Amino acid sequence: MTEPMNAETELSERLRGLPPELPDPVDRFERVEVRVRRRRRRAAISATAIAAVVAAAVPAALYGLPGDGRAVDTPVTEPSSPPVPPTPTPTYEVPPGGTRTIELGEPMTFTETGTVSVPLAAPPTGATAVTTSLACLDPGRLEWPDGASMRCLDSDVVEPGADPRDTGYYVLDLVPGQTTLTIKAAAGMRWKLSATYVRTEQTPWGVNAQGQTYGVENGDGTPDLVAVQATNGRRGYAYATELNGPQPTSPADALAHQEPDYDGRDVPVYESDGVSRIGTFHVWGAGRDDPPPGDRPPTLLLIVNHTPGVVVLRSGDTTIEIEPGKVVSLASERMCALIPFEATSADGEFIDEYAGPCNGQTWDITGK
Amino acid sequence: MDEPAGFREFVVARSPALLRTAWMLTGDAKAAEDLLQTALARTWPHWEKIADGRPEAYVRRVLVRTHASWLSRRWRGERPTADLPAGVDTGRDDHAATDDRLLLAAALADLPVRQRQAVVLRYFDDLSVEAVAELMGSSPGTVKSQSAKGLAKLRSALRSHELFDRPDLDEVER
Repeated sequence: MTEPMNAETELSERLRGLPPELPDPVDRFERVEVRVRRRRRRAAISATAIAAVVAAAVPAALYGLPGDGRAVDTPVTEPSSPPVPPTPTPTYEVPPGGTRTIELGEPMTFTETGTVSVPLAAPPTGATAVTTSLACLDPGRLEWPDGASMRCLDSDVVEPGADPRDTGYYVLDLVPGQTTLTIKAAAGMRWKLSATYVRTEQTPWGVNAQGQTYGVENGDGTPDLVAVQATNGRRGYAYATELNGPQPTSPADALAHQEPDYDGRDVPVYESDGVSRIGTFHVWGAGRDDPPPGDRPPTLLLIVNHTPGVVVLRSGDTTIEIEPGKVVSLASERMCALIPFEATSADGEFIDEYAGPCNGQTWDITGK
Repeated sequence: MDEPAGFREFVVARSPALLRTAWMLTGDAKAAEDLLQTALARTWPHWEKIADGRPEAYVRRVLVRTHASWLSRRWRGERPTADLPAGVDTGRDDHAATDDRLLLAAALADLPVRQRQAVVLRYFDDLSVEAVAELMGSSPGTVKSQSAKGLAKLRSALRSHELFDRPDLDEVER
């Protein structure tokens, strides 16, 4: 006589009978590989787009803020990404109106220890910037001349013979007469640098059949259709006029839009034709996640580390460290282009990820 | 981009089991495949570090936390009941079986994400409380309470349809 089936066991069996026959694609591994490449390429596009302005933009766009919202001096991070294009022909997709880099010379390679100012060769005609690729030969933190930085864990360390360009690159604008690049590192930490002179140039905005411009905001202003990421994750364009929304008609109306309970509004997202709708972009109200006062740019994504340890955000090869209890504010579309972010502990354990919009949201990293 | 040694073999060998867990979490075949591939893609960069340890536990942890993250930020869409009857023919008794499964799947889908994860990992994957706690980043006590609440809701849903009237279910988790 069999013992009556335990209710827990019975329910387990019922649960195990739930999944249907699931397809097992033969190319699953290849699809995973494509996703890995795409994540790295996304960082490459972002790094390319921010090329000419990044030296100024990163410190301006990315603040390390203490929990009470006061700004601190240290810029937090740095972008970098996959290999530099091997020919002068730009190979990365650059959003209309974005900035691309064109190599003008051979890479200069240096292997050094600790903080060193490396000498640069004479710049070729037309060079406006240098792409720099740093690789860690020991774990630790490396800092570019503009204060951007990267941190290498044990798993990030490469062999001395490795090509630093395999780890990505970061563009630094050249100051006229500049002959050296200073890389800061802890005493005894070995690193390898590859630097290549480049010319940066701004791509033109696209123009659709209706004669409307589309692309990213740049020094020329704002196109008719501004590149955004919809809440469904798709990238497209929203009308600048709709992003700006109805302008207040009176001081009282303006004040009403700053009330904390003002939840903003949804704006349609289109293909570049300005007609084919592909999603929605949510514009948060002024009362929500107000940018900190002062002359800093507005916060587009507030990232709060509620965990007891350091959180490392990664996007491709870009990393951002957030101390426990601290807040980081993304304040430029170019930094938002690094989304999705993956949050890990300092030893690389996965904690959370963010793939949402970047227009006034707050990402609370709790580790739960 | 170099392929980490042994990762392809792991993907081939363990994906079917991981996919079933992903389906239990998402309730949808496409979402499950998406979740699995996302977890595997996120594991790729860390493979060399975890390969000698417990790589499947690592992938499951990424799977669970990614799933929670998705649910907190994405619209969940329609209830994925359409693919449940797969493999079930049109016999009368099988209709009843399908009803059972649909009901249980719907009840599972109605659970809050933490309860659902706790129930799936404890009673579908048959993991220990401690192992589930590690995967979910929770304490063992939280896992016990979450899985107990989840089971109580499943039981309640099933009992309401007189399909699973087992009073001893109340005593499953202490």
